[in-house]
Amino acid sequence: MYSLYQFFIYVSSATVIFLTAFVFYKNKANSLSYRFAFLNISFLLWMISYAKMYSVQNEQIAYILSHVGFVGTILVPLFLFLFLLDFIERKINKFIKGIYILISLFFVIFTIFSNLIISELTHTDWSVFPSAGAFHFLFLIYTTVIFLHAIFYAYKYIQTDEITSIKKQKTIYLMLIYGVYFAFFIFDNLFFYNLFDFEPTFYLSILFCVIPITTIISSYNLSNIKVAAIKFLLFIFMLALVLILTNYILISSTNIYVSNFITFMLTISFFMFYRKVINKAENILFSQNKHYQNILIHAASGMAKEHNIDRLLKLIAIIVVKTVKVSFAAIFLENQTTGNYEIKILRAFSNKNNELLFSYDKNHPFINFIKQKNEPFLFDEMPQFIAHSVVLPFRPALIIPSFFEDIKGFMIIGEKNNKDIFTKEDMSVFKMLARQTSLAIENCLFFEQYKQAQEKISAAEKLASIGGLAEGVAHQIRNRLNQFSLISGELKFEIEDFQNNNKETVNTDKNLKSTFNYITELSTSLKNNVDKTNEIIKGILDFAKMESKSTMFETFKFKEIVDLSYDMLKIKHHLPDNFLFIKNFKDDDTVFGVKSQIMEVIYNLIDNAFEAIEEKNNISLNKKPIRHTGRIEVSLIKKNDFSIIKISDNGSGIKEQNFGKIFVPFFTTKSSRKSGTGIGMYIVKRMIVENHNGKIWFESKHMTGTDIFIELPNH
Amino acid sequence: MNKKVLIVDDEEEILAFMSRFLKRLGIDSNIAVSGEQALEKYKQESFDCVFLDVHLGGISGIDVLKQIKSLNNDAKVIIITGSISADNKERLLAMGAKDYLQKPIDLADFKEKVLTYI
Repeated sequence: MYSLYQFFIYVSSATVIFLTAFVFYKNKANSLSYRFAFLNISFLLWMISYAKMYSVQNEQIAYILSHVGFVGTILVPLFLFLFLLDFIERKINKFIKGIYILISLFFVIFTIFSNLIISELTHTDWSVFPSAGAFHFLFLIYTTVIFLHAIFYAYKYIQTDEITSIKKQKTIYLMLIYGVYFAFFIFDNLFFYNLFDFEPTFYLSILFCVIPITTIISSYNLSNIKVAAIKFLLFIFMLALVLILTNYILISSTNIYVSNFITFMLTISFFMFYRKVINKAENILFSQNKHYQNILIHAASGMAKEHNIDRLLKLIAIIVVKTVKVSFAAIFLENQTTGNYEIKILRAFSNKNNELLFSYDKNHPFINFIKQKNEPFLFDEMPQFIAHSVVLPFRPALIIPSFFEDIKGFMIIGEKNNKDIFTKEDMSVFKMLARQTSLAIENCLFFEQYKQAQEKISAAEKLASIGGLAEGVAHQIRNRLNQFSLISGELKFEIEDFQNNNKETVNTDKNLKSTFNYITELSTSLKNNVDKTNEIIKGILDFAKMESKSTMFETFKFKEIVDLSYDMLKIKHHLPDNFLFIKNFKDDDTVFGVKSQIMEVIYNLIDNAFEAIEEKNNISLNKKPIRHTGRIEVSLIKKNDFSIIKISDNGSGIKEQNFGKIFVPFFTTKSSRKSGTGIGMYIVKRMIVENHNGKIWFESKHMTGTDIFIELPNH
Repeated sequence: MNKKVLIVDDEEEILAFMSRFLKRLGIDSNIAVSGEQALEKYKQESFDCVFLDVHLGGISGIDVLKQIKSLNNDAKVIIITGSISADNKERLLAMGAKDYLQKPIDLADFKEKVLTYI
């Protein structure tokens, strides 16, 4: 036959079983879960025995059940003690542990085999209940000692330095629960002394013990617990107040209407004031938090004004560290090219700015966890193996991801200096901070890109305007050059004619002869300069030509353009007799591309080769009078999908420090007495790479020679 | 009979220099500053060769070349041009020019070409 009382006890038992299973699920099967299980088994033994005892008819069985149930009661303090020790990871002296176990064993034996602890059954209004034995008070003393010892250890633990704020909070709560439960436990044991005439409430106190412990060991966000606990206490307090007042009024009042009215008013005011009291309590509790939360909110809105990304990150880190007063703040950003996450700033509370090199690969489990979570989380929430792979000089407490479209990064914050936990409001402020940070970073990056784009555009505009002017100006200048050329030619011929027609006069007068020779030299020099100026014009025009892409691709004989270039350059450079020009390709070998542009390229490169050889000659002439044999070799290597053109010379080569500048526009090593504007190689590269989708590279050694390679696709 | 050369260029100074130079070599010349003038003169007199600037005001040098060629298929016309590239040269030759002279004019070059084509 069931009574309501038994029903409550069974429901409590079921709850305890459920919570045990829940802890195993959440915490996995570690030693803490096991000790919790043992504790609960004692509770269950206690509860179920007494529930059964409540309704059983046979007094003999009831007697046995009462003693069996009390065994559970005996084991409770012991297991609570062991549980707490495991929680604070304290290894105690085996001796102390042994003593407590021994004492418990004593009590168990005496309970089962004698009436010294628990004695005979007495009949109460509601059922039967055992009475206390002669030495039951010893059990109470033992319970007090073991509880105090446990609380003492816990207190010692929260004084240590290595404790994290989470652990500290959890331990404090456990201490509170243990303290209160101790009182309840003693109270429950007083039932054996037949002091009360209502049913024992042990199942309620058990729930009061087990439920909070479960929450504490399975949850990470304790701010909820703190607030919930305070709300609960306030609720109880106000409820008690109301109940006591109403009780008092009902008892002492004569007028039933008045008393009912007052009761009604009290109940209503309870509900009205409850909300207000709770909010006030929260404000007081979190006043310090609210202070820095406001600062952070203000800082976040000012972030968008900072356009330099390094300054922005530094600002954020400093604000977080100084206002929230945490041990450190570190910001990681995704590297746009590699995709890995690199540390950008690390600011500690005590030191000045630290420069450290950290980087997490984009596939690192830590990064994956962050991406998955996508909102602020505590470091302790991560699985062990991930937590161990994160190595930082300071212990991280909170990780705040910051993802906004393409901008990815995260901030790691250390513990608060006062070891307080991060509350729910903290988390939401950080979340907002993270969002603002992403926007601000995106802003900065956008500005940088914009600046770069602007620079590119103005550079391109400059070049384009040169190109635009080029045609017109070049033509005009060419005409002037034409004049100079004709003038210098005329000058020379005029002098020549005079010298020829007046041989004796010229030969006898030394002054005349030298003057005429000098004038001839001047006119030659004039002509040379005209030629050089023409080269410059040509360079600029080529450059202008570049802008209009020709799409006339065709297959043509390589020999043609090499021969043509060689012919033109032979005249230009007045080749000496011992010059080698080697053609390393077959007559019908073909190349695919825009004929005029490839012609331009080959011409330019062979021209450069010639000049390099001349330069080498000139340099060696200065040191020692050796003229080496100039040699240029042009080869064509045909592959399936592409052809490689190689132009080698044994000229002056390229200095290593100039390797990177060869293709830069307006770079030239040729002294101003030679021709060349520096546009040549730049144009060549653009033609090959942009118009033909090819590649160009070189190998060179100073004073030995240069090899230029061009790769052109065959279609 | 003296050899005669027609020089066509829109700059008079150039014409002066070139004809004076030819005189030095003992060669007669006539000058024209525009394509129209050139054609007029060509119809009136006979020339052993023509030096024709590609850039002219009015009708273009190419048009003058074509018209001269149509008047006299054997005419030897040498184009004076500022920029020459491989296919330009071919085009000009295809159109009937005998050769080309690159600007800025090298008088030695000029002399060579004149003596060749006269």
